Amino acid sequence: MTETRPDHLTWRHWVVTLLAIAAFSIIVFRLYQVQIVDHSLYLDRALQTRHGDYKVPAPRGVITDATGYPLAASVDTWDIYIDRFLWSDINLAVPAAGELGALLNLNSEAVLTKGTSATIGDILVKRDVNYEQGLEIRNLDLWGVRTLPSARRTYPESNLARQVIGHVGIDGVGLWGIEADYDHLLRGQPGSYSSELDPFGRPIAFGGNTDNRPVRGGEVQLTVDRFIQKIVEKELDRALEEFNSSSGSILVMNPRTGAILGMGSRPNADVTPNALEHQEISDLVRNRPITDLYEPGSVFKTLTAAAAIDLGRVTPETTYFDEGVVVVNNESIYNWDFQAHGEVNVRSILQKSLNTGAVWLSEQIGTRDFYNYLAAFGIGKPTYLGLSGEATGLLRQPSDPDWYPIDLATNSYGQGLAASPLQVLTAVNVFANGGQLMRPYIVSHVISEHDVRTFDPVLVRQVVSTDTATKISALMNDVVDGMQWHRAQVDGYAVAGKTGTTIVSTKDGYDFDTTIASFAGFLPYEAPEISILVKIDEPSGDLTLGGQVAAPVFSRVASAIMEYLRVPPRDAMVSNP
Amino acid sequence: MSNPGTVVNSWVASSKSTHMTAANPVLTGENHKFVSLQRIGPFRQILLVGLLLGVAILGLLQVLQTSQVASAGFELRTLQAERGQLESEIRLLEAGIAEKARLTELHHEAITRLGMVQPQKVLQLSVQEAAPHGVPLPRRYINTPPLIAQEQIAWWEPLLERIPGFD
Repeated sequence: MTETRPDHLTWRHWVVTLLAIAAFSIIVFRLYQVQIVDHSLYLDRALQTRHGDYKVPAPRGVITDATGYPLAASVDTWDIYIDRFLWSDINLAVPAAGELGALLNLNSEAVLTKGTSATIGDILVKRDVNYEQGLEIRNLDLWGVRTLPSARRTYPESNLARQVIGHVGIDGVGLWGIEADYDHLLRGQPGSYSSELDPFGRPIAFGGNTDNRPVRGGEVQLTVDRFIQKIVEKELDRALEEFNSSSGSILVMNPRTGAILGMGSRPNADVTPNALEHQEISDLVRNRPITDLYEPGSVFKTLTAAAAIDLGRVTPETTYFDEGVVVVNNESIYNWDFQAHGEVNVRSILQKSLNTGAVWLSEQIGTRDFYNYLAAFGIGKPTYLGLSGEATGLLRQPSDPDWYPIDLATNSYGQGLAASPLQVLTAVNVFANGGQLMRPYIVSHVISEHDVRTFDPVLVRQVVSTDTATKISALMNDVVDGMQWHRAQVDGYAVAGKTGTTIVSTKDGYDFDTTIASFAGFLPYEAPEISILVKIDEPSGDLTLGGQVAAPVFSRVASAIMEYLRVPPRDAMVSNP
Repeated sequence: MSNPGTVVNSWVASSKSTHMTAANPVLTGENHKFVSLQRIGPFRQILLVGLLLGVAILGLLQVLQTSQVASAGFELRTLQAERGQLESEIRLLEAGIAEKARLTELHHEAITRLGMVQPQKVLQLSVQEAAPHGVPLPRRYINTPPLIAQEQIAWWEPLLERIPGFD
């Protein structure tokens, strides 16, 4: 075979070589431009395209009642989005819109229009889709449809104890109540998932990814018992209707520990997302037993009597002469019935709720000691319950420039000062607890993933001696069970309590036609299990006094709770040998 | 240019006669290598082959390990997804139970299904038996999962740990 190829480089070789060199030079130049000059720019673009970062929400913690029943819980849902970039391919978007519309019970045309009309970002189609339904959509892997995990807060008992529990906004943040105050604990820590994506935006199974699991929110257990809470709210509604009143509160506590067993107030609101837009919502959802102040009235006479007895200035049998009126600083103070009762003892002062008697007791105590005792009872200071919005109270001290001697007189029977129902009942609990003031609390356990915190009862101080507490308890028992007609009596149980009727203060003074009717007491008197404060604001009609309005409500609530707590009555029918 | 047959012949022949190697400079390099392999003796040959095999096996082990890590990672992600799904379902079921146990529901069931009525009169009986305990604190969120025995590791995995750079 003859060799035909030349043994030297021809011009063709040179052309091919030069073309190759030119091509490689262009490639090298472009590589230099892309990889060195614009390195960071392309790196960012690549990361944006290639990497997807997803926020994984943490399941919000549960709020349970004292029995462990969830008063607030979270269930997983999905938010459905459309990737408008992928839906720009109309041939693929139409069938996806059809299926998505059918699954979500939406008009497919509307879904398609929505998914193709926007120019930027992913488009939210539906929020809070049920878990199973969302999972079905996710598993179908519809073109350009993204399912992002979300959660919905549920309140199985609906609006029960809603002012206490609070509410969570659309962003998953607590707005008020326990939901807001313990938000940092309930919300947990969201996780994140970062993954390499394929050209269609789907995570690559074997691609580089980071996965930070969310830490679920902690659990908060309340001392509130839903059965007691139900009794409280049911009787409160009934009372407001019966006495044609627009607002009121009922508070139930364990006087020996300070635990709040039930706390209800009206008005309230059916909390829905739409309701949140109303301005008056904050007025409807506030926890009135701790936020609202009122003049406690005659319930306060128990504190005055306790101070006088504890100081040894009087005994339950010490007498004074009631003329029906007492003049202090040229101001006349009358009894509620405008009657003179003659010679009466301390027991009668409480039984008949004599204002003049309370003034006389305050004079026996003296100004400095009186206010020292009020401070010891916690009046004028927050109780440190642990919920936000707690009112401090209004109490002028003798050192204040706007304090006058008549303040001592009016304060002795619960006027001219203001306290929250919680402060008043906490003070009354002192008599049920051997003279010891307990700090009220509403959260019993806080449970995080690795820790359980238990809140034990806290003794604040010994306010009065045990003997004084016993004597005042006995006097309070005489107020209820010693008066044949008293409406606070509970069948089968000895009750200690005191009524209160206050005229309502206004900007210009007092409105003598409106009252706040209240009753505070505890039972069984011998070994108290519960204490209750009932406060009905501005009852209208013939019955407006504490003994007429609040006392029967106390009786009904107490009777139902005694039955629920299975506290044996005095006259049980059968006893096993 | 010599044909392949010639090369083989020369190569074989060169093992017997060194002067022929010198006569064929093209094959000189291979001849030297071949000769040196022949000269190292059977023990060393086995050692050399073993060493080569060892290197190959190590490479294989690395591939195996990488593959197993990838498989385990995939399995882990699948299990995590499954766990997440199960936890979601647990929360749904708990919410469902709570809905069924709400007080209005219980009241409704008591009246409609069980035919219960409000008592006309309540009689209290005292007995000397302690009341049953209340509902204990639910611990569902703090239960420590039982320890799962560690899986049996493959025979070759400890070997890898002994090799520098494979930890």
